Amino acid sequence: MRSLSRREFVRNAVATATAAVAGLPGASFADLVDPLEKSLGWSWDRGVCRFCGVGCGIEIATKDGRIVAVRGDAKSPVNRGLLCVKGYANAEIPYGEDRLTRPLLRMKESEFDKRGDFVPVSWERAFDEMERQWRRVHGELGPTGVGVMGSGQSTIQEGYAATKLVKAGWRSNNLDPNARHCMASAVAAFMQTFGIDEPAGCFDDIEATDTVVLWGANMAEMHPMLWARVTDERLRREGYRVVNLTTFHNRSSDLADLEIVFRPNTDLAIWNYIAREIVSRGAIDREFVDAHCVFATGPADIGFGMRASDELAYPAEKDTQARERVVVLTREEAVLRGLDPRVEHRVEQAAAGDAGKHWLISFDEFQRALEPYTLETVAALAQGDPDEPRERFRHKLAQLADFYADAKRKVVSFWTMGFNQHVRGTWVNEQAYMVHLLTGKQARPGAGAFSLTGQPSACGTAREVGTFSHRLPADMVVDNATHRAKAEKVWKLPERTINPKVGSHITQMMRDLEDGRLKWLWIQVTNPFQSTANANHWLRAARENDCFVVVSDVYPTLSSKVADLILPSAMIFEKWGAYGNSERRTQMWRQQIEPPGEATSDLWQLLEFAKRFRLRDVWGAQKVPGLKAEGFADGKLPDVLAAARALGYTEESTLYDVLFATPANRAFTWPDPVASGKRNSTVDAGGLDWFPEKALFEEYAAFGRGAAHDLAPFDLYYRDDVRGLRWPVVDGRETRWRFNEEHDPYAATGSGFDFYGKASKSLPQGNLTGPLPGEPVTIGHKAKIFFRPYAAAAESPDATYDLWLSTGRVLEHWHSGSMTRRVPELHAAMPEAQLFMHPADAAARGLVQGALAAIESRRGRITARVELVGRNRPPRGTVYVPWFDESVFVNKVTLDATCPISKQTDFKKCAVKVAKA
Amino acid sequence: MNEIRHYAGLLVTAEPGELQSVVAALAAIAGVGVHQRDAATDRCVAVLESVDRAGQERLFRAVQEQPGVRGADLVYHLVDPETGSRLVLEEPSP
Repeated sequence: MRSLSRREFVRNAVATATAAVAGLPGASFADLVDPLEKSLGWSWDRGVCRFCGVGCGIEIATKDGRIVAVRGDAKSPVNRGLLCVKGYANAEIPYGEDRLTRPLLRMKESEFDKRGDFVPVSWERAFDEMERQWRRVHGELGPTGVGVMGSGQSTIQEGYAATKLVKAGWRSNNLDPNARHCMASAVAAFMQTFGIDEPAGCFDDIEATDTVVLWGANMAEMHPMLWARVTDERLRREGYRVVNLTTFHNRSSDLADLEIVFRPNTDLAIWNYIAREIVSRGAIDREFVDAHCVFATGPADIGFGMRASDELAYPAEKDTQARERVVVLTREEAVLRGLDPRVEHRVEQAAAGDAGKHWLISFDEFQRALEPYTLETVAALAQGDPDEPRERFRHKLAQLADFYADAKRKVVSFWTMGFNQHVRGTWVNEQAYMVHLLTGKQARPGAGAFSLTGQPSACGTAREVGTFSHRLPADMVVDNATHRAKAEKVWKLPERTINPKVGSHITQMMRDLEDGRLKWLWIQVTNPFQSTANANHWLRAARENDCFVVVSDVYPTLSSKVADLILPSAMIFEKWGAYGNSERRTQMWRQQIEPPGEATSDLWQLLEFAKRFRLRDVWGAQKVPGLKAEGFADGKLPDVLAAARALGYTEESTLYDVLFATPANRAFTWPDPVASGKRNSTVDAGGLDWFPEKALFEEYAAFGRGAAHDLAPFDLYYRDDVRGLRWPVVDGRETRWRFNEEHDPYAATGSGFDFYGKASKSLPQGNLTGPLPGEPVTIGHKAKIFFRPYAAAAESPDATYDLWLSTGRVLEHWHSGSMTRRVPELHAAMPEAQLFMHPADAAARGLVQGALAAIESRRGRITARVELVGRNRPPRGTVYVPWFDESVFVNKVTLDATCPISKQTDFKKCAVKVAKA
Repeated sequence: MNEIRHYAGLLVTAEPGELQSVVAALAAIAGVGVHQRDAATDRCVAVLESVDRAGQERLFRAVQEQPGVRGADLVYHLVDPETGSRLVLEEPSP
């Protein structure tokens, strides 16, 4: 026996644990760490980080019903034991002092009153008022009067239950996630280019490639553990290159071999310059392109996803809003479209309502469209830093083109919000595929265009489950009769139960709230009144209009302050769940601790509320304004109650029984051996004898199995040696590179590459001006190389609003900060959102470091402290304000223009002026 | 006497060729101990020890801001409620 100071022992144990996780030589956990943890009485289980789309594996220690420690899971192939500063906060986020623990309803004299104060009520009373308001609104407006906002942070099972309740039960498609703000543009581009959603590649590309190009992705702050992998490779390997394309200098620039600061929206022109170089240098991979690709384009006059009418616009907004209808081309737009720049070109945005349509063109047409995108023209347009010598910027663009054109160099292009939050977000995603497909650098290890997600289950929940207003599970959509029929079959619904009219996207739901078209809104796992652009409109609508807003959350947020009813929710490790990360990896966790007070899982809330509706309430004939679809009377959903009776239901059957507690689902009994003794708060709150998280996952997985979205059986994800699996999982094996015959079981034998996605594969022939008459052509298993033109932003700086404003996240805080701002270390590290700006711009306005500045746009005015020397260094003419801080509230200033195809908001550019506050 | 102590294990990556000077600089910070190091990858392990969270934050920043430090990742975090005690371990079997 030996005895030593506990401090000395702990210091050595912590050092050993760190070295072992990091893979430093000679380090072993067992000698020091295991005895220490044993002495502390900790119990470890594994889980997934609550925060970003990387999906780091973590281990969670609990003792006496509390989380006492979190560490990176050394066996996780994603993060290999490392965690960023937010990752460690998983241990602390449940324990903020102001956790919501009881339902709170606005009341006066014991009755609900929109002007009342929040009063604690029972769950029964809360649901009574929710139901009463739902019935009132549904009676007045029908299914489109009610809506649910979901999240890329909801678990897969929660998202699936919400989809089923809203689309199958209520026959409303007004369900949309905050992921609309996050990666809807990526989705639209995947569907248009490949006919199937989500990346071909995986994180292993970081080690397999020679070149990482970041396009509008500050990976160092937003995906830190991927950045750690990139850093390792960059420092370890000769010839490994990192390029950072950005509109301002940021932390990712520090490691980059090449930093290219470009003007907002000119990424569209830079891609076309690269493509032009590839074509003119003869660097096209002809064999790949001929065998696997076609060329396509679409309309250019598609507007900016703003309201078509300016009836409710503030007077100052009207000039920007007018561009939704007519655009006067800038000089650069005219030049790049081959028009005479000396003449004014007024272009009606005639295709705004059909922005996603596209048609085939010839290679010659494609080449002709690229012709104006010369180095000289694009460099003059795209240079983002006015103080950089033009020649240097030109040289950088040429270097970038060299990387893509070099047949011997593997390249991975990563992007996130810089592309997706973009008024031409779908186009710019498609342009990345354009260059990668032209060069054959797609769907190969270390070579591919790779869209990263921001949220932990943007892929798993929002995309794969289909919680978007146009979607059903496994890439299916509500406006496709075959897809509806398949969903109705799996869900055992009468034919024509599902509404064929696409619902309102998240920004549209806010507009609907303002218009009075939506009067009942349930928000889960998101904070949309802080996160939606042009927020002054929506705040006033929610508080002053005749509407009822419910917010389920773990802490008070700006949205809960706006709400009429607040429901207390369980946090990640207070419930069972599953997330799907950016590389198609599905990961699951067990419940570790109990929710506080009366807080419950969001899943329980959905199931319990479903008990309040009988089929006679929802499956009779319903009015749906604007509905027009084959097999449906205009503006109406049919009565399906008779058909429901034929399926064995009665008019008195509840949606809970018909949709959730089905005989098949109740066969998944609780307790289950996979629980290993852990509890289940959904089961406990509902007094259930079945396992809803397992039952709903298996029911959902049936949609994707055999349809190239195969998920493994539920229990496999909990096996000790499994750290998540990348779908499609066929015969127990995950898929690392899709569409590649060597790796993807769905790729046809002998094909080499097989772009087998099925959506949008039949399209007309046409030229650069439009489609031509004739029968559509089926392109089978080919991907599309799109030509997309440069377009100016919805709003650009002018004499009054003379600066570009960009928003985004910071390393320390997650989204609106509702969790991370309650972790003292994170709050101390970044207590408030600052106004990052160039010292010369500050000096010109009499501002110094730390001064309070007013930031004003056509839509609102806020104040923030000036930061001149921080982590972000904008060029002259650009400012950056993070959006996590409710007290700064940058979304009062931002513009709610969206990509007209994806409906994703452009948070990266609008025009502001800055002055002393 | 028992007292609470906070410990953190950091993986510190130095700029190429700067590991030695980084190790010396970190070792000079009160509350920071440098343990394993790997010259092949320019990395070392630093253990932070403080009486509260604020101290951890201060030390973490001090490490990050040292010249020659390219990055510091928090790998392991522990709050020990019994720092003052002694620990008796069984010798490992031969």
